[in-house]
Amino acid sequence: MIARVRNPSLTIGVTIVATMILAALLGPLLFRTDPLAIDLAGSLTGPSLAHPFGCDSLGRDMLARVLWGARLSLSISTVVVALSLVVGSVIGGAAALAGGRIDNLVMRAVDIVLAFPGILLAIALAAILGPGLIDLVIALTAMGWTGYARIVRGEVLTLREREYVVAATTLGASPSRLLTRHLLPAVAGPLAVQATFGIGGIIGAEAALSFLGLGAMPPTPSWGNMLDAGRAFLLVAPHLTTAPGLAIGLSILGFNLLGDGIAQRVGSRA
Amino acid sequence: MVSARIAHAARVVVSIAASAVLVASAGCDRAGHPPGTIQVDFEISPLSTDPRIGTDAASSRLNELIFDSLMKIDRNGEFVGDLAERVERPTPTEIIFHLRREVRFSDGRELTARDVKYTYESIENPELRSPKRASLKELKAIEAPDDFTVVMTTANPYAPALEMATEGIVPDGTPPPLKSASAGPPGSGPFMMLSFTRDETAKLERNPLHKFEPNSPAAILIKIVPDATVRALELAEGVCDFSGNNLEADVLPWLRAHPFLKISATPGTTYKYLSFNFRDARLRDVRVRRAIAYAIDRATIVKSMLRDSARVATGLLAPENWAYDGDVTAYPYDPERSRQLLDEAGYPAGADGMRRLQIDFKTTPEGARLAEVFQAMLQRVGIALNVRTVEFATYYGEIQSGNFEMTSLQWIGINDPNQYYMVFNSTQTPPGMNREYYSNPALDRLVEAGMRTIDVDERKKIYAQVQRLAADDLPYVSLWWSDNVAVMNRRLANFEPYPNGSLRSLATLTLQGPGGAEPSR
Repeated sequence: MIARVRNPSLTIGVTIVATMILAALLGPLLFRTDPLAIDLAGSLTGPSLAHPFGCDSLGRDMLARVLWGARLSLSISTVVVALSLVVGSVIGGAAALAGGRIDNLVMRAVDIVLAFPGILLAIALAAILGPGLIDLVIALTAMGWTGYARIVRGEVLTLREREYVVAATTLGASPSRLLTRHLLPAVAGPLAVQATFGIGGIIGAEAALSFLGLGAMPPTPSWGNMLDAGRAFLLVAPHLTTAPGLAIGLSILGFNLLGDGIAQRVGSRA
Repeated sequence: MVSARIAHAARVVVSIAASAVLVASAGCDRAGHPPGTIQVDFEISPLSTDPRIGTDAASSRLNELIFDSLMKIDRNGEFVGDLAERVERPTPTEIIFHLRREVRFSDGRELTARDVKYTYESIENPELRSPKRASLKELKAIEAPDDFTVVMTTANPYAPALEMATEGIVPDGTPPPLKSASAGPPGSGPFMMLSFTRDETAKLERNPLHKFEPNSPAAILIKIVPDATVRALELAEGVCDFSGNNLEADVLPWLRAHPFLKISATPGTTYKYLSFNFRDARLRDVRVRRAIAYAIDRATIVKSMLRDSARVATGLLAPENWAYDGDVTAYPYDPERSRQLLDEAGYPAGADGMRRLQIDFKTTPEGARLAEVFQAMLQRVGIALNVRTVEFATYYGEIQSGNFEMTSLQWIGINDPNQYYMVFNSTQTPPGMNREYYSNPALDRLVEAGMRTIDVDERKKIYAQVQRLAADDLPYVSLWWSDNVAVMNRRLANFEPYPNGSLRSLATLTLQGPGGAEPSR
């Protein structure tokens, strides 16, 4: 109880994110309307009992599309963050361990990538690779890995100098023991925070790319392309943009609050 | 109750957001327009202000207001004299145009046969690199025996020769346009151009040397507004006076609810079709194309999606065309027939109903909605359509070079049935307009005969056969002819729509009230 009061971000964040994950996992199973079923006669109809969020310009059920969009959004952002985490950690860790010129070279490369505004880099890459989900994941990963590389490298460099690590090394601890017992616990917190914020960021970036037609291809429902498709009907059917817009906003808010909450938790422990 | 309240709240939010967009993007309000000025919104920028160059629809619409041509096409789709007051065809290969006197360019020079000759010769000059050069291929010579006579000669009898007489005339000696050219050369039409900023505005003012009716617009501000919602809002706010063929059908009832707006909807000739690449063996099989034709429920699309703002098409020529013949094979929605044809063509349905037939469908972001409808309809008969969306410039480039499997496009302003030659003759492959690489010797012979036959009744018989053959062999699957839908402020009176979407009438309509009435709310 007390912990909740102390850390409202965590509570609200967990609630929103858990609801989202449940909606994505169970929603399509419970609400069994086909998100791709076209019914031109019902195009642009407003919310009703049969279609709680109304229908889009092709008469497809908006609730079903938002739920399936949640699946896409969550799975893409999870995959991208996991990939970025692995790629970033390996590169950052390797750079720190190698040290010297290699470290310098790798970190300057990181700086170069960071110098581009992330979303522009992703747009450029997505445009070069062409639209499609795999290309989208590659583009978003290319934008996201640098943060993890910096965190891991920084932690490894400080840890190497810590007395307990020096002690463990002197006592003959194997590199794998050093990694699992000392390094991982130390980087886990900052990485978790970074990854949670990362998921929120990627949800937004995925929506932006899909909005621009560089992400999920029709008929796959994605929040970004739903928003784009609804734009032309803003005046006559605002529910087309409201539903995916709220979904994007809420989920990013949820992950940011969660990240915030974790940061507070981790920070209070250290 | 709750949902109604939410919907209302959402509408309020949307309208606030929308007016914010409007304030941010418009930058000019009613007060900013001098009396007699009307604002016309275009969805895309004209590419050239030089009538010798611009072939895109926006350039044609704009240049028609500024330049005169020997002949023009009237509201019935017939050729009438513009600069020419009399036309003679003494032999099948010769046309003589007698020009009107006392016609002046907006800079004061008199327009003579020399200017006409110069205009045509400069289009034919490779240095100008005009895309219109190809359309003058049949023109052997153009002569100006005196100041008010122009003689065009073709190498062979060429039935659609008068189409060549519709080029806008520029003054003798007009240099090729500079890349950064703003306002184009002076013309002799009802308006002259004061300024042009690509993708932003074109400002037109009356050509003082061209007669005009009292109370007709003194100036036209053409504004490029790419977003359909903003165009609708500008009309609703009274900022924009006229928007033609660029609004979503679904928004029309909303606009109709505004008492100071009126909508003109008339049958049009813009032809929308499905196109197939004939270098692809699967699509070369006529059974596959017929199966696709039967699988697309055009009547429902026209009714529900286009809100009846189009007519289901039987071929390139709309019923208003003199050569139209609608007695051709029609393809009503018949999924069962479609499946049979696909079975016969060797694409049996799998356990899930899908066949080993995956077709790439290229389109633009604006075309994605329609593409998804085709995708869903073709899926019902077991064809998987992979929709690929790319932005317009890339898309158009790929289509023009024939790099696609299937797509949907439209022809705007079809007039002479010789269009059949230009799009289906096997010699017209890219850079020509037969982007499908379609080749059918029987059709080739017919469209060549149609091009060389001057007698109208003979031609009519030939094109009746052409229309039947094209409907059987399906180089295109005809979709629909789009209506011309113009939404305008009620202060614009006597607007006359043209079947080809031309905006010539902006020069002759009349404004009501001094400088136009304020929109009443």
